[in-house]
Amino acid sequence: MHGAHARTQKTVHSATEHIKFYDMKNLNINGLAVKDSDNGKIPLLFVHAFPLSLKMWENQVSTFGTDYRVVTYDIRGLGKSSQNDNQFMMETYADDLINLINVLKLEKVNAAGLSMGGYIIQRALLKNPELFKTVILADTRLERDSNDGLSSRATAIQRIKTGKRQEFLETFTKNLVSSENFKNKELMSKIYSIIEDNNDEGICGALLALATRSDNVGAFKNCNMPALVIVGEHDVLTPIEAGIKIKEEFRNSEMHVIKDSGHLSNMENPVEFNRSLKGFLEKHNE
Amino acid sequence: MNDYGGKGAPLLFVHSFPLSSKMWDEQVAYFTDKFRVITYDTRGLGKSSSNDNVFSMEKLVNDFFHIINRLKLSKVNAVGLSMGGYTLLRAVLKDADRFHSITLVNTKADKDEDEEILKRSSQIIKIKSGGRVAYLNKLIPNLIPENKKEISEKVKEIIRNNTNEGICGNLLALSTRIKTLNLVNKIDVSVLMISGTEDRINSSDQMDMLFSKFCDNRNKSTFTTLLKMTNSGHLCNMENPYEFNKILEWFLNGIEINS
Repeated sequence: MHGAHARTQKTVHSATEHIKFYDMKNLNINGLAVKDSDNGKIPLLFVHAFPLSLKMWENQVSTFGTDYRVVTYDIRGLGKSSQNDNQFMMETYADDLINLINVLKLEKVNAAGLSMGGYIIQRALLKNPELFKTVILADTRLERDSNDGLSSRATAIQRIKTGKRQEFLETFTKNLVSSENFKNKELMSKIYSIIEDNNDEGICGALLALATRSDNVGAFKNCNMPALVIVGEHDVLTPIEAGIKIKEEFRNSEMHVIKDSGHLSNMENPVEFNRSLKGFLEKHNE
Repeated sequence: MNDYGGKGAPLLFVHSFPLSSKMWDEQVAYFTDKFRVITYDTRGLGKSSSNDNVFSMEKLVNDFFHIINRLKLSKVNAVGLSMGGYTLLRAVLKDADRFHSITLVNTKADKDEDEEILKRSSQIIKIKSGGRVAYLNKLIPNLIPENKKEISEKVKEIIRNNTNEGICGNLLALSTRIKTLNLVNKIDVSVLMISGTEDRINSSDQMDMLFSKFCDNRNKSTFTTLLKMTNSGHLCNMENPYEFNKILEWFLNGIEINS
């Protein structure tokens, strides 16, 4: 009786135990700065958005880091990852992800990516589908850059390189979150501080990588991979329609629209984002 | 940048990937006493500095305008081969008033398809992992037939002076091109197109397609023509300079008279 009680206590304790970034193991994999909760549980990998770093997943790390083996990393050129010469293409990023999964033996991994993270996961999934258990594609799209998209990347690079980084970031961050959340000082200062850690070269390298995406429309028509599509209801960068297109392609998928959120749905409304992710993961990882 | 300072209308040459302004030596020699000939090394190649070698196609277009502004040239005749042609197509769409004429050689107006983007990224990876020689050994025979030894050696010599970072930077830039094919019917500038029928990089069919798009403009007041050079590949200006120079001279003289 006493023993049973103690066990219950312990279970309750472990379900509410939240971990922080500093509880995680720091690794360097081929120049990538990686954090790994390394607890022997089912792997859950997070890939961050442009122009942020793994720090954007703080809330998810704390929510999922005990029940799952949470791994996240800084994309090459950003955060604490090595910059090399900053000549990256989307393919470089995808190969980095595949290598990381192989080195850490995360197969079969649940992989969540937001925006650029979603592009990287899509490309890696096309190359090595056997590595994945499920994919979570948040605030992302299938289409490559249009003519206008390519031109605005070029303009962004130009602005950053001519000392107008601040100007570029001010315009860009306005679109990152909903107009309501843009007024949230605490949230915005967190976002700015993550971006501040990235230098101009890494940001320009990432802009070029984004511009060199291939088009994934139609690529997942025969894909049975369980997919969760998440979109912030006020996302202007990859709006609801872009999410629906993904949902329509993955036949084994569900889509959740996150209330009170723009593009950075995991940071803007972590409660709903996490609830949606939790339900999906439990369904596919018995 | 080289301004040969000849008398006459400005004639500016934009080179192809992964060469340098040296590929225009035969044109410089021929045209210098007839035009004000200008050539330049595009960013990252030849003697042009490239800073961090992270730039887009649009940057190469801005560089072009920067050069003609610096030289205070209000209108130019510009000749671009392959990548040089991509630069000119985009430039003329941005500001047609700066052009007296454009000559497009073995180029196209499409953006990179998915396979090409992926090919470029695997080339970058190859070059960065010590595979530069293997990459170039595969590329160069497509630029110039191997049996044309002397020119082939010159091409190799030009490429040899380019750094890995510059070549990779340009590969990246090439994959950020936008599609201009459906916009060219708005261009009202005299256009000469020269197509090498044996081109193995940009096929003659692509030049035909681009030409037909130019011809869609019924209101065009300027002259457009496509001439084919048989027995010529991608670098037709180096392979058959006599023929190339004669064609270009004929075109330039014709539009000079009309203007």
